[in-house]
Order: sequence, then C-alpha cells, then structure tokens
Amino acid sequence: MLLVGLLAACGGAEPPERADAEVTGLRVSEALGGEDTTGFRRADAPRAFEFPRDHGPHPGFRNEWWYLTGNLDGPEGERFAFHVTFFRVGLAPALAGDTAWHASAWASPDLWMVHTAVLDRDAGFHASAERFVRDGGGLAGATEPVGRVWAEDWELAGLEGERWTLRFTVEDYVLSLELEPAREPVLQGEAGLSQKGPEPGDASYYYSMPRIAVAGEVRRASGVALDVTGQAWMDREWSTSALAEDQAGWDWFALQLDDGLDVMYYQLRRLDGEAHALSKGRWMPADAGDALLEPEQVQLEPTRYATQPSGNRYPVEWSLRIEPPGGGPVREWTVVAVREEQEMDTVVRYWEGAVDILDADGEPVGRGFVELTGYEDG
Amino acid sequence: MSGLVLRAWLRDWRRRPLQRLLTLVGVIIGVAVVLAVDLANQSAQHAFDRSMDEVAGAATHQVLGPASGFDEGFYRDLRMAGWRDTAPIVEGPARLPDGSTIYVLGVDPLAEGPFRGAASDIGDAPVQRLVTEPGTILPPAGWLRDSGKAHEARLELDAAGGEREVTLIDRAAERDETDAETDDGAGGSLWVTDIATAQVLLDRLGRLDRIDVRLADAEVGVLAEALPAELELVPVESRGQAARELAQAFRINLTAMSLLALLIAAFLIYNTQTFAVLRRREVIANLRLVGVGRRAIFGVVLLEALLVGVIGTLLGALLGVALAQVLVAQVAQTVTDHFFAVAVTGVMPRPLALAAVFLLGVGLSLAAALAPAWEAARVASPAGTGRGGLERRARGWAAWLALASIVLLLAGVGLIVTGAGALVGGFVALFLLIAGFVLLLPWVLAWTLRGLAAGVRGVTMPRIAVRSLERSLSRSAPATSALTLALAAAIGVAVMVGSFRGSVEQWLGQALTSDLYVVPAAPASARAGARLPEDWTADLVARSGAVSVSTGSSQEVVSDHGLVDLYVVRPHADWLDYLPLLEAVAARGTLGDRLAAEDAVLVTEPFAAHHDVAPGDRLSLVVPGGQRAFEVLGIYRDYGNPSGTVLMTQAAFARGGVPPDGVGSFGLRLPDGADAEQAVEQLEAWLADQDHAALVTRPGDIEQESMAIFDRTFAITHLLRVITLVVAFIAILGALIALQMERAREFATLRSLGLLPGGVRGLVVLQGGVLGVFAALAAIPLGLGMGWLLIEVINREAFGWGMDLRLPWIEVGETVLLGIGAALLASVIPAWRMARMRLVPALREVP
Repeated sequence: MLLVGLLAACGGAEPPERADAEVTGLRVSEALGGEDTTGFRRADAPRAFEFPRDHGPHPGFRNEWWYLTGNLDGPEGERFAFHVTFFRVGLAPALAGDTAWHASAWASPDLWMVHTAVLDRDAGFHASAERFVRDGGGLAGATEPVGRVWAEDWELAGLEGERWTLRFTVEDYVLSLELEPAREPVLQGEAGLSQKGPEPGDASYYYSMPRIAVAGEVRRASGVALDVTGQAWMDREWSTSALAEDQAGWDWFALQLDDGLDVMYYQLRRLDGEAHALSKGRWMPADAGDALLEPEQVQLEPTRYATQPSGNRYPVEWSLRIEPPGGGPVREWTVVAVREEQEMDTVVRYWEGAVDILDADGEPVGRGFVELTGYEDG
Repeated sequence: MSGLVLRAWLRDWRRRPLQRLLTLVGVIIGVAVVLAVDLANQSAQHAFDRSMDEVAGAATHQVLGPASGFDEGFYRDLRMAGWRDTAPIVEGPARLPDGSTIYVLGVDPLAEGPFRGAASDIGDAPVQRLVTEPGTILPPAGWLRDSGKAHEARLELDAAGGEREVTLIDRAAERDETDAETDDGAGGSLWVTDIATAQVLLDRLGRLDRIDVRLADAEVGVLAEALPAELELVPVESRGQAARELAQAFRINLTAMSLLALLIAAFLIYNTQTFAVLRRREVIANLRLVGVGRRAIFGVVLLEALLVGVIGTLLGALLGVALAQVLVAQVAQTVTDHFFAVAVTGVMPRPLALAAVFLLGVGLSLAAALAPAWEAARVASPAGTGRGGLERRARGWAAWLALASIVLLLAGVGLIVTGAGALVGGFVALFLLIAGFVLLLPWVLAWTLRGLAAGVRGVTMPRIAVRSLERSLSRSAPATSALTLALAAAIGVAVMVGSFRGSVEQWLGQALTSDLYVVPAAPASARAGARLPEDWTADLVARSGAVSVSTGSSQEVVSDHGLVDLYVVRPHADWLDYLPLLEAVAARGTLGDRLAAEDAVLVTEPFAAHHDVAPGDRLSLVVPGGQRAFEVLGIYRDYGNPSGTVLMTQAAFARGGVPPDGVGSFGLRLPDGADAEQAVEQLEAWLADQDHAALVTRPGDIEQESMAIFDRTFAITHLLRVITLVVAFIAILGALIALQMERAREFATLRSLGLLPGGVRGLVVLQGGVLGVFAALAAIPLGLGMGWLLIEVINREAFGWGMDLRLPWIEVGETVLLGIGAALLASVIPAWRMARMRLVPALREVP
C-alpha cells in the first residue's frame, strides 16, 4: 500500500546512478511525484462500495492500485511468498489538446507501474521485478467495469467472479495462482474513506481482502514446477492525495493468524522518529465484526535490524502488543522476517517481505507481510 | 649572412606586392577547395550517420513489415510473449512550411529506455507532456535555436496524414532548466514524438512501421521463427547500408573533383614560384657575387616557399571553412534528395582534416618550389647564361616526361580494363590518365611550336612569337598544362552531366507512359509509403474518360539481398513496349505474360549492378503469403532509385496471399485527342470530396520535379568547375606575366628596332592566343576521355547507372572559347606592361 507516498517522497530526491533501463523508471517516478491534482477526482465523501464492481478500475483518480501478497507452501514443506502490485498512475486527468489528435489506440493519460517479487526460502532466493508500461495499445490496463488487470504478460483476471487467476514472473520464476476470497471485503478507515491529511479530499478509498485461499504452481528458474497452496491478502486503494510532509516513512503489517484473526496496522514514522498520530489499523477477528485500531492500542518496537545487499538497513524483527478494540486479552507477538533480505530492487527501494508470527513461547501462530519504507541511506 | 640573403630576397614582396600575392592565391584557393569539400562531406556524413544512429538507436535488430506498416497488435503479442527488449516505432518524413523535409520518429517513451533513450534526446524528453497531450512534438534543439520558434509554438506539418498543426515542445523549457549546456549543439536531427501522435501525423492508425529489438545472438533464431510470414527480422546494420554506400560514392566523386582543383593549384604554385625566381635573377646573381653559396640560395627559395605555403594554407583553411558552409548545404540537400532526410547541424572542422590539409598545402608549395629553387641555385653570375641551358634541359625533360606519361597512360588503361579497385580504382585510373596526358603535353607543345615556327617561316611577327614561346618551354608548358587540365575537367564534367541529364530526360519520357497520374498528396519523400484506395479505379475512369488505368506501389521488402525496394505494378497493356529494357532472358513480347503468370520480376540497372544479379538469376522476396523465389527475367534502365528497384506485377505479388490495401499511384491513359485539361478539372472536382488527399499530376510536372532534383544534385559540380577555371585563369595569367618579364629585353630590342608599342601588344596577345588555342584543343580529347571515364567507369561503379554518351558540342565549344578567351585576357596585363616599359633599363637587364 501507500506506494504513492513513496514516490512522492522520492520526487525531489537526486536520482542515483543507475542502469539504462531504470532511467525510464526514474523519469516516470518523477512524473508520478507531481503535485498537480487539478482536474482529478478526489476521495472527499463516503461512498457506497459494491462488489465485484469495485474490484474494477476507478478512472479519474490519479492513483489506484491492486496490491497482493501471500505466503505459500510447497508439497514437501517448501516455503514461498509473493508480492504483486499493479499501480495505475494518471499522468493527467484526461488527454489534453485537440481531440483530432486522440485517435490512436496508444493515446492514454495513464501508465502502469507494476512490481513483483518472489521468495523461495529453501532455495535461499528472493528477487523482485518492475515494469513501467503505458496504458494503451493493449499493453496494460484494467477492463471496465471489472475483470482483468494486466501489464503485458503479468495479469490478475477473473475479478468479476468468485475465483481469480494471478500470473506473473520474477526473473526466471513463473507463478500461476488461483485465488479464492475466503472473507468478505473489509472497508478501511471510515466506511472505506481513509483520511490521510487534514483537508477534505486528502484521503483515499481503501478496502482489503484480508484472506484469500491460494492454490497453484510456482515454477522455479530450473524449470521444475511445484504445486503450492497458501493464503493471500489484497489491498485496494484509489485516491488523488498527497501525504503530509512530516512523515519519514512507514511500517505496514498485514497479519493472518492461524485462529482466523486478521490484523492490519500501519505506523507512520515522523521525521523525529516518533509514531505519527495518523497511524492506524484494523482488527478483524474471524467470528466478530471488525474494528478500527488506534495507535494508543498498539505498541510496536523493532528488536533487530539487518543490512541489505544494497546497504540499506531495515528492522527484521519486532515485538508487537495489541489491546483488542472490543476488549479481551492483550495479544503479544514477535514478528520475524522469514528471510532478512527481502528488499525490493526497484527504482524506489523498500522492504516488502514475508513474516512469521510467534507467540510468547516462540511457537508460530500465523504469517503475514510487512512493508517498510523510508529506510534508505541508513 | 643568412639574414642578408633573406632580406635581399624578400625585398621583392614590397616592390611588387600584387604579383607576389598571386603566389599566395594559388595556395589559398587550392587548399580552400580541398578543405571545403572535405568538411562539407564529413559534416554531411556525420549528419547522415547521426540520423541513422538516432533512428536505429541501440537496437541490434528490427522487425519490419510491408511498406504500409503492420498491425500494432503484433507488438503487443511480442510483449505478451515476454520479448521485453522491444520498442514500437512509427516513423516517416514530413514537410515544414518552408518546404524542407524532416524525419519524424514516433516512439513509446516508456519502451525507449534500452534503445535511444537515456543517452541524450529522448532521455530528456518530458514524457508526461508527450504522452498526455497528443499533437506535441520535440524538434531538434538546433532547429529550435535556428528557427527562433518558441516553446509551445504551433507549426503546420505536412505528412502522410495530411496537413496538421503540432505544438512544439522545447525540452529545456519544459524541464524548466536554464542550462541548455547539456545540448552540445548536436541536438540531433530527428523530430521525436509520442507514438500516438505519430500514428495520426503519418496516417498509421493501428499500425507500426517497425519494432526495434535488442537480441542476444542465441535469441535471433528464436524470434525469427516466431514472426508471422509478413514480418521479417533484419539486423540493424543492413538497414541504411545501401544508402550509406551510395552517399559515400557521391562524396568520393566530390573529393576527386576537389583534388583536381588542387592539382591545378599545384601548377599555379609552380608557376608563381618560378616567376619569383625569375624576377630576382639579378638579386641572386649579386648575392652569389658577394659569396653566398648555392645551398643558401636554394635554402632561401625553399624558405620563401615554406612561408608562402604556411601563410597560404592558413588563409586557405579560413576560406575553406567559409566555403564549406556554402557547400555543406548543397551536399546535405543532395543526400536528402536521394537517400535520407538529414539536417546538417553545422560544419565541424576536424583537427585531422586541418592537419592533412596543412601538410598538403605546405608540402605542395615546397614541392612546387623545388625546381625553381634548384634553378635559382644554378644562377652563376649576373652575366650567367643559365637560361638557354635551362631551356635546352627543359626540352630534354619534355622527352623524358613524355616517356613517363606513356607508362602512366598504360597503367591507367590497365586499371580500367581489369576493373581493379572498383570505384576508387576508377578514380586512380582517371588520375593516372590525366597525369599521363598532362606529362605528355610539354613534348607535344614543343613539337607543335616547332611545327608552327616552320609553318610561319617568313612571317616575322608570328615567327618571333612562336619561337619565343618555344624557347621558354619551362614557363609556357606548365601554364598550358594547367589551362588544359581545367578546360578538360570542364569538358569532362559537361559530357558526364549532359549525358546523364539527357538519359534521365529520355528515360522519364519513356517511363511516364500515362497521360495523367493521381498520387497521394504527401511530400515527395513520403509519397512512397502513402496509399490511395484501390476502389477509386472505376470513379477515376468515369471522371477522366480514361481508356486504360495502371497502378503502382513502392515498398521496402526483405529479400536474400537484404531490404530492397519493390515496385508493384498493374500496368497498361502495352507497357513493355515503352520499358527501356537492356537485357532479357527472352524476347520482349513474351515477358509480359511470364511476369503475370510466373514468379518473375524485372530489376533495374543499378539493382543488377549493386547486387550482382543477371537475367535468369533468382531473387528470394518476402511477399504476401511468405517468402518466394522470383526469376529475374530482365534488366531495365531506371534513374529513379540509385539503390535499385525490383519490379513485379500485381498478379505475381498477390498470388500467395492478400496484399496490403491501397495503391501508391494511378496512371490514366486518355483516348487520343482527349482534352487533358478537362479531365484534370473533372478529377480534381471529384478528388476534393474524397477522404484521402490526392493530386492529379501530368508527366510534365513529374519531369520538371525530377529534373529540378537532378540539377540540384549537380549544382555543386558546376561550382567546383567554376573554381577550377578561376584557378587556371590565374595560372595562365601568372605564366604569361613571367614569360613576358623574361622576354623584356627581347621586346626592348624589338622596340629599339622600331616596333611600335601596339606591335608589342599584338605580339604578347598573339602568344597568349597560341597557348590558349593549344590548351583548348588539347583539352578536347582529354575532356572527352574524362567524360567517358566518368560515365562508363566511375558512375557505373558508384551508382550502377548506365547512360548514353552524348557529346555536348555547345558546352565543348563554349569551353574552348572560354580557354582561348582566358588566355587572351591573361595576356592583356603583360601586353600593356610590355608596351609601356622603359627601354633602357630593360635593355640592360640580365637576359
């Protein structure tokens, strides 16, 4: 989630020396970082969500994304994880200029940025990939009202029905997965309107699909294909907003407990290192209604750090203590990265990794995904 | 001592500055022409290469389809199949309001990274603006600077999609950067735009012109296999290679012309240096008297030559750079007319070229001064009589030179007969023959003068004039040679250009067999790719009353000889009667049926030459339905396309699959006695209501346009010819002045014996006339020979064009008169001086 903020944060930064292919990406990220929101639709009022229609695109907003993560098991206990984000960016609210020029199928004000990553724990392998593709010429897009989201041969399809398919590659790994939502969509923020700043409209429409059953195939670089099963999580968000300037980054947690409880929590870190008051999350028990998680109810402390091959240093183990909003016993967990090195090797770097959830006795009680941003350069 | 020598020697510069300047002029002009041609060539070459590189980018291969483009869906399929180092391109020429042609490259900026990207141009492109506002375009930075157009200015572009107004984007302004420094003046020559804009501008909706691909060696075969039949994977180098070679041939032609100018300049330098020595015989003799050694004299003459060489070369270099500005536009225009739209961003003096020209200029000055220096060193005393001995020796040399010339002539002939060295070999042969001929001249001149003297025995004045010339062979021969060479070059070029022009005109008359043509309204350079609906045929016939309709379409197709131009025709019934067929496998009458019924083609003369194809050979061509082998039934003459064309009938073309829609042009033949004007009006009225913009043209218009391009191509040749003649004029002027100066005592004696000033003038002018007539007459065989060589060897090698030798008698006559006139004109100053000279000092002067 929240990649938009990442990109906005990067907009003013000095572009580092990179290979040719990434230069395009950098230019694109500069384009994404633009402040001009004139003409775009804003998330300024509550709306009625309707599914599966809202799995489809919402044109007119500057940004929209389909964000999926998942933990998978192979037939002999192999451990895999994946991450895919289809990120639509409106470079302009609509095509500008004389409409006589708009006849080409390539003409579109949108472009797509897509990130994929795979973790193959037993092979000691983690890799990520990134694509920038224009919306047009059939290369990338999201079908209306709902159905398919794709960027070249990476594709999330079947969104109009009960079973979805997800296909993508990371280097020589090919993942072909069937996704079956096992839980109704959960609206984040206030009935799906997630306030990000003080002004009306500085907000996003945001919902999650916190539990999705996955079955499919992971083909390793060697060409050997393994049948896998597991759990995925999808976040959907669309908005035309910028984040507050006093934020250094965030730590975002999507946790799936074995007892059916799902927890989402993001902690915005201020430049002074403190947690931001806009941090929040959601408590989603299996057998009761979901509820907002406020920062006062959550204590999150990194307990161990690891340096990535890039030189960036991220926390890879946390102690997490939550007072459930509806009452009940306080939960205390240790969240541990399945592998320390899960940084995304993308134009804007961040850590996006599979984690295990351990109880006080050190026993595994669930799995999840963590996203860490704003840790570059120490 | 040496200071004294030098001062004494150089005093003459102050006393007769004008004459000494002649020495400089030779060096300056020679150096300037060579440098200018080289710079113009290099700059045009640079622009050409840059354009090619910009177009190709870092791609290793290109996926190409038919000329009309191919379905853009194929690119999507390629991407979907995981071929990600690929970039779609829509490209083509367009015309600016001022009539100049530009090249538009439509790209997907997001796919560009691995290709042109990052490096310079597109990497700086304001991606957002190009993508979100179709109709925006990035002109080359240099063009923006020169045209004074502002950021966001609107400009009308005329391209395949009709006339449309684009919005100019200035990279620097859009990126809000004040430092335009990053653009080092080499802002490229391509107009870059988003692919969506290019599709509209170039009439390519739903289609692409090519896909750039970056492949590892192992992937080439895999991708080639995966392509559908109508698409072809072509290595980047093979594209543009034909154009590159041809442009190079054109430049070699120019370089040779410039070297000829330098050769003539060398004669001039020799003359003026000799003159310098002559003028100062007295000084030399006095120096010798005061004990200056031969070596010092020799040294001082060479030192002067060195100074002249250095100063002349420096000035020549300056003039050359200036002249290059004029020439480069001409060269670039020619390259644009014939090969590829290039924009020359400026003349770039290359250090290496400057160094080479410096060596050439100074070296030539020194070499030309060697003989005079040696002559100077031989002057014994004021009373010395070196002169007569010198002239005896000169006559001896003439014989030896004649012998050497035989060797050179034989070598040249041998080179032509064996055909060794191709184009360069042709030029070497040309220079061998010229050198051989020129070396023969002194000997011929000596005998001619002797013969003349015998012929006018008893007629005092002419006899004196001729004997005097003969006695000063070391002066008159080089001057005559220079004039001969210049006149011969003028004749040779006139023969070549005249024959070429005549052949082209005749060919146009034959090739244009229709009375009216309907062609797409696009700039000439874009017309090849533009198409008109095929179903217009019935309407065109109805409106014009035509009795026969032909169609023709040009396209680039892939063959086993690389990319070739294919011309597909649906001809008039009697078309073969008009085709200038040169060779064929069978009788002309049988070819028509075979071309329609079999897999058979005709090829043009340049095609046959470049690809070494003969009638009966087979060509493998990619046509609708896939690749097939076609038999070459014959070769015909064509000047339309220097890289050559393959001609195929529509029946053969469409046999294996569905051909692309549209035709390139319609040819309408009207019934005898029909009113063409009326047909044109009717057609134009009907065309005005159609979706596709089209023009009605008459053969006359096409001929006019073709000949205009032709004349533009040879304008630079004419310019060089004029410069050559100017140099030769200066040479003959210098030589005659030298000659008359030497003869001052002789004339003074004649005056003392009662010859009036008018008589002296007549004598001098007569001598000029004799030399002029000799040079002009000698120039005729040499010039015709050069013309023949240019046509039969050099143009064939360079372009593969054959042409009928035409003797442009008018031009030859003009050139002869020009030569004689120049010689007479050059006599005027010496004649006037001789007539006015004071007798006493002249009589006392050392002979």
